[in-house]
Order: sequence, then C-alpha cells, then structure tokens
Amino acid sequence: MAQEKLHPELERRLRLLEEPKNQGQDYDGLAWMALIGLGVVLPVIALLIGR
Amino acid sequence: MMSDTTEAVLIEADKSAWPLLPGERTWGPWQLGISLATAAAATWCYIIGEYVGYYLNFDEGFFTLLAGSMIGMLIVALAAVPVAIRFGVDSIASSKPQFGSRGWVIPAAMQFVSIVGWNSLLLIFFAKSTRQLLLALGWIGEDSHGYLVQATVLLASALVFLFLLKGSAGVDRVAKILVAHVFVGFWMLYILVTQRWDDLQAAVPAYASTDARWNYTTGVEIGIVSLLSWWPYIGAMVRMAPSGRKAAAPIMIGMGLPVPLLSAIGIAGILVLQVSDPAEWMRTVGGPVYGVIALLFVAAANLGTAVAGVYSSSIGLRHFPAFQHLHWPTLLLISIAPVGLVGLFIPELFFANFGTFLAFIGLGFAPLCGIQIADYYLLRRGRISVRGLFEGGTGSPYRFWGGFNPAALVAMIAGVLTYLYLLNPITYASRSPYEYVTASLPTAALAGIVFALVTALVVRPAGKGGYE
Repeated sequence: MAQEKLHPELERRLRLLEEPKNQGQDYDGLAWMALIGLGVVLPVIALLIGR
Repeated sequence: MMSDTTEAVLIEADKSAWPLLPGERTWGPWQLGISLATAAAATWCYIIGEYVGYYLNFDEGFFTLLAGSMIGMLIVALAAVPVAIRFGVDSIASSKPQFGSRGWVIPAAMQFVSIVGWNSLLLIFFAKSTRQLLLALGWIGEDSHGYLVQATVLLASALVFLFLLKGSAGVDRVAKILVAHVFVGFWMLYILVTQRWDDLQAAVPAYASTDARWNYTTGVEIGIVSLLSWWPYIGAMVRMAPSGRKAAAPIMIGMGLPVPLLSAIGIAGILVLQVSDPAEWMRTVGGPVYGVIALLFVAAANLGTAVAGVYSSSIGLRHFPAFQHLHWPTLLLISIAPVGLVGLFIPELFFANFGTFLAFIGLGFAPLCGIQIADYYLLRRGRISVRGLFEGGTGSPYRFWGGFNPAALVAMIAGVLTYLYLLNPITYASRSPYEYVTASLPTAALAGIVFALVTALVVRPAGKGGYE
C-alpha cells in the first residue's frame, strides 16, 4: 500500500504512536467508576431529589 | 535538559493538530481539572440557568440541570475523549474514523460555528455587564453605549490573542489565575440565596407549561445540550493528559459540575429579580461594590473560556490543508475575527436567540456523539489507526468513498430528523415521547443505531473503514 508523504515530524510522531507503549491509556476500571458514578448514578439521585 | 530543537518541535506540536507524544502530555488531574473548569465556568451558565428558570422553580431547576449536565458530560466523555486520550489528538481528529478523511469537515464546521457562537455570547454578555455597571456608577451616559460595546469586544479579543500566542501554555496560565472566579461565583450564589431565600422559594417560573413533566424534562434537556457543546473544546484539552484514569474525574467534576452549580445563580436571579446577569442583580442586592466584584467575575470567567475556545478552534482549523502551515498568530486571528464581528454587528440578535442556539447544539452534537460512541465501543472495540487519522489518500483506512462515510451521513440525518420530530429548536414545541426521554438522548441513541446498521450492512462488507 502506497503511503502518503507526510511532514517528517508528523511521520516521526505517527511511527512512535503506532507502538502501543507510546499511546495514552484508555479508561480503566477506576475511570469507569468515576464516569458511571458521576454520569449515571448522580443524575438519577438528582432527579429523584428534585421531584 | 531539552535541546533548543526539541523544544521548538514541542512548541510547534502544541500549536498544531499533530498528535502529542507521551513526554509532551504533562497535565496531571489537577491541572486538567482546573483548565476544564475555567473553560466551562463562564457567564453562559447564567443564561443557561435563566432558561431553566423560565420553566422550573429553584429546587427543580437546579436538580434537573445537575442531572442533565452530568449526563451530557458523560456522553461527550465517551464520544471524543477515548481517541483524544490515546493518541494525543483533538476532537476533530477523533471524528475521522467515523466521518472519513474528508467528511471530518462536518464536525469541524460544527465546532467552528459552536465556538464562535459561545464566544460571541460571552463577549456580548461582558459588554452588557460593563455597560450596566458603568451606567450605574454614573461614569458613562446612555449615548456612550455603542462605543463601549465595541471597545469591550476589541479589548477582550486582543487579550485572548495575546494569551494564546504561546499555545496551550496560555490556556494553562490563564486557567491557574482565573479559576478563582469559580469560587467568587459560589459566593455570589450564597449572597442571593441567604438574602432572598423566602422570595426564591415563593418565586413562580414565568413560562412554565401546565405539564409539570414537560417542564422537568426540559430542565434535563437544557442541561444535556449545554454540556454536549463541550465536544469541540474537550479534545484539545484532554490530549494534554496522559491517560483516561487521570482524565475521567477531572472531566466530570471540572467540566461537568461547574455548569449546574454556577447556573444556579442564573436560576435564582431570574426567579427572584427577573434578571440573570449577576453584575446587575449583585448591585441590586449589595450595592455598587458587589456590582464591581460581580463584573470582575464576569470578565475573568468569560476571558478564561474564550481563551480555551479560541485555542480549540485554532487547533481544529489546522486539519484544513490551507491552514496547516499558517503562522500561529494568523490562525488565531482567523479564529477570533468572527467572534469580534458577531459581537460588533449583531449582538442583540444573537443574544435574543440563545435558546435556539442551544437547541441547534443538541441537533448537531447529539447525533455526532451517538455515532462516535457506537463506532468506538461497539464496532471497532477500541481499534483505531493513528496513521489513518492523518493520512487521507487512497490507502487510508478512513478514506471510505471519496473521503466520506455514508454511514455517518445517514446517521447524522436520522439524528437531526429525530431531534426535529421531538423538539422544535425555534418554538420549543415538542412531540411525545419528548416529555419522558428528552430530545437529545433518543437522538444520540438512534444516530448510533443507524450508524451501526449501515456500517454492518454496507461499509464493512465493502471492505471500507478499516473494520476488518
């Protein structure tokens, strides 16, 4: 597959980021707890209290 | 020690849409949370609160807005953030796997219009507050109004430009100073609630429907759409953090919570004093000194948000080939200029139609978020090609058909039609089951389902989109 000619610095970055060790980490268990707790549980409680 | 060349590359990356490397993503939870809070906490909160206060009393208004805001924040956090966090990219880059190597112009246009809209609102609000206070103090006459608005708009635009000359460092620097305004906001709420509690409890919302359920749902809907409009902002900021763990709580607390909390000021203001602008009602409640404090708060809040918004839209513009190599100051000017023009020429028209603007945010960003969530979690299960985010040629996995993904286009249309069926963004007339489910949530869900179906039936069998 022919590759596009990218800016050398962008190319360097992409090569590095194609390796999983250089990527940021997705949400883990703790992050999901924060998301569900604040994005689902808290709204449900708020709606019950506000009624 | 960092060499000059390395530092120059780092600074350049910070002002580009290039993905950031781990060593460049140095914002911890506190730094991210403060920056997000500074971006979210602005005087739009009062206007959001004002709209909720039209339909609900203080308690109902606050709790529905809290619920809606946190739901909206969760949707944005699930849509744009995972790709932004993993590869250090902004919101626009995060949308390329769904919209295609050319189709991303759709979210880019939405981002630009949304940020111009919000920032225009902030500048107009600031100009109005300044005029109110200076009039009250007797420092200006009625005839100086026009000049004052123009001067305020130009001054604020110039300050934003200067703050951002050094890229995201400007966002961080401004955030550290201006985050104090969030606490001033809570103090103002305390003043109003303690001094006017009886009035607040007795106040009746001016435009409440006879259907209590409709009012309640509308409070939630306003919260959701308000937070959906953080989509354009969030990628450029969370990409500075290294992991989802360090970003999740700061996003929900830093960017999600300040809006309902500060919007309570707007709800209280409109219910008790029929005005949501704290610079005006603080003067009514506490005299000129309180009015000055409130105005300083308005200035600080709006400036911090405008800085974050212009930075995000500038990074978004970098994806356009014509802007890729443009000098950073020129790019900043392109981002700021429309804001200044709206603030200068059509301030009243824009300000008077805030509710419609909010509904149009839901109309556009609800389906966009639904599509991204369905794609990342259901269809790709987290498998994204970072090279595909930046390569648009025939070999790119996100080339689809001519750079556009029909699944995203069809899903967007389905989402928009769903929203329009449920809630008219101009008249706020609704159809069932809006009063049970809001307009944004079914819109996001249906757009996600349509995207998944078209992808499964058409895109994937054609070997497009890098799904294999």
